[in-house]
Amino acid sequence: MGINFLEVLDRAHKGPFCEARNWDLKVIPAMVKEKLKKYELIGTFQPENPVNTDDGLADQFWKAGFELAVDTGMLCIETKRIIKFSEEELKEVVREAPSEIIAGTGEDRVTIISRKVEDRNSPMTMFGPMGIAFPEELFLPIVMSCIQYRLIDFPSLPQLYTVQGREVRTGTPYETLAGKHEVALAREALRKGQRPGMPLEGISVSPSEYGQLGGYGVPGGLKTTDFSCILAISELKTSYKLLHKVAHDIVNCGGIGTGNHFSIIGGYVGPAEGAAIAAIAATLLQRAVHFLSLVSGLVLDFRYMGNSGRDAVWASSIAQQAQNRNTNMLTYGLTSQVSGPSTAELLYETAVIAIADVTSGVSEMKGTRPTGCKYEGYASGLENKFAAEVTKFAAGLKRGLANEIAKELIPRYESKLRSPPKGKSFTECTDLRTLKPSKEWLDIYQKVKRELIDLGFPFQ
Amino acid sequence: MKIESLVKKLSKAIMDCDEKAARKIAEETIEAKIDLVAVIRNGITEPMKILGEKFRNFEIFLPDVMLAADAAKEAITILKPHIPREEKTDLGKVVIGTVFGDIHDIGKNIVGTMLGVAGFEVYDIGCDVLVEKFVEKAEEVEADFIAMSCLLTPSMFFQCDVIELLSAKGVREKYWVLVGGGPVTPEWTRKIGADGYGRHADDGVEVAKILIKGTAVDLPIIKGLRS
Repeated sequence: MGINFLEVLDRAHKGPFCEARNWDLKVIPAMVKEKLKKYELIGTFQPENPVNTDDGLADQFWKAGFELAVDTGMLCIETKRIIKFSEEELKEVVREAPSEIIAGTGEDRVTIISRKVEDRNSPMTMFGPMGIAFPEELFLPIVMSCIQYRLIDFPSLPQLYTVQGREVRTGTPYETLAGKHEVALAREALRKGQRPGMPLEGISVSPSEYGQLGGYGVPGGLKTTDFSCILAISELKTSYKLLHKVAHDIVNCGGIGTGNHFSIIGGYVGPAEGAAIAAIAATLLQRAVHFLSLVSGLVLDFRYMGNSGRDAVWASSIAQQAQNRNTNMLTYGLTSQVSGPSTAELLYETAVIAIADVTSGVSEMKGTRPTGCKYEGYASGLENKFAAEVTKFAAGLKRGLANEIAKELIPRYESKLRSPPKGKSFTECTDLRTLKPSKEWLDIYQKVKRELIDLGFPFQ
Repeated sequence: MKIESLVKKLSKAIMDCDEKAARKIAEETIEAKIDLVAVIRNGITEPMKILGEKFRNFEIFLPDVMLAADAAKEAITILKPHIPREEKTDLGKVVIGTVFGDIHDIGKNIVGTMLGVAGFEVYDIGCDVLVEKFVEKAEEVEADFIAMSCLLTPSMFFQCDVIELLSAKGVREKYWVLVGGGPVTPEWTRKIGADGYGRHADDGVEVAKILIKGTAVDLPIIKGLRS
């Protein structure tokens, strides 16, 4: 890119000054409102049509989001300085963004390519118990229960909360030790699962930079064919913790940068329309500040802290369409469900999010997050298999059909979003010897698949 | 007539998120020597309730309520020293923060704001807060509650540390301890000996209201459980 990391750091230390509270309560809300008004986007969210099908509207959102990124920049929390970019610089960031990346090695190598709206090419799939706390003794079984399914291209990892029985506490040496422990377990799971070349995405237990750093320079550690995961802070903020990861993982060690940011409906950016343009701005600024090759501005609804409700599905669809119609950037969608494993609701949520995002042109889908990652050990292989199937087979689907499917499925779970079904834990819905799902869970999965086929979804 | 006029002006200042105006009207109210409790109830608590309802319905959003709460706080700071101690104007005092190692603040801000809307006096000590700072602030302001938010599992353990520190200092019984956030569960709440848990912001407010009555026997109080 034209602007190197040292230049970004300079701006983080010399840019315009702004207190975080002022940023959150005055700067961001005012800028978002201004753009929504300027581009006549207020009231464009239609709850009865959760997947956007209006290309012109998506392009208006792109213009608004791009302009928001130019006008706001990204705030560095520690320095209280805004890292700003000119319009020309952000255009260059977009022009120079890769449209293809390769990660992993050997037969398990993955190629992620830029997609467009309703693209016939299948996205890549990164599915597993994303960030869900799991005990050490179940790390291998849960990862292997996911990667046994070939439609999952590479795994999303659970989070260890102990290392050899000791609590992993943020910012302490335990976290550094956990980084090495996690990567060692992950590589072992890939070997035992007969998919040794799959790439890894950072360190799941990395609330600060220490966990991630702990995963490098160790036997089997993260390398240039793996991803470095850097998650920006809502809204449009970065920090030394994140910039350390950029410096170390991407600049020093040559890893592939990936990451996302959540714009929160109801929060500082206001309604669904505000979250959508903030998500677009977040994609651009993360690419510029964190040097991410695979990047996303995502949306979350704080009323239930997930993204399967109609406001979030719509906001995500229009933000993704805006980006993927107007750039060749590699973007991704992420399933942030609230229902638990062994429930039909979890599969409905997954299907809606994945179908909306894939038809909106994402290059990759990630997840899954049953129970909103609230309950330790509440994940299984089957919902991840389902997520991968829906993702792959949604390629080429028209948005009109995606919208009709979403309209049918959302009512089946939306009344439960604030008090969702907990479902069953990994050990309750999986045979730990074979790593196959329980009959009860399999029956639910088959039933939901049939329902989707009846709605016109092209399962193969 | 005078009281009605001041209440109306103060209410407007709150709704407009105008800290400066709220402060000025509060000063006028002191000079007018009128029923200050009635002014707070009708000029501050009532508009905050209206804003809280609008927020729940998504007619307005978080920044609007937080800025209104700032204006309300400005007015209360002026008025409170002039109110006799026995005339309570708030439901209780809450020290709220996100625990050490965690810089996520939106959940804490929503809960803090809704507690303020409900009539609690809220002291927000920010994010990435060291264990001892929760206790120090609670002691300083003579709080009723310590409320801890957490979105990162590896930071959750610091919620337990705060409770242990309270016990070590012999002051555990002085405070109700509330916990919440993404990875926080009813099971965790019970495990660490906290007094209350709410899945969502309004659940947290309900828990606080139950606890402050002082009649709850089965602890912890858990609200917002899934089906």
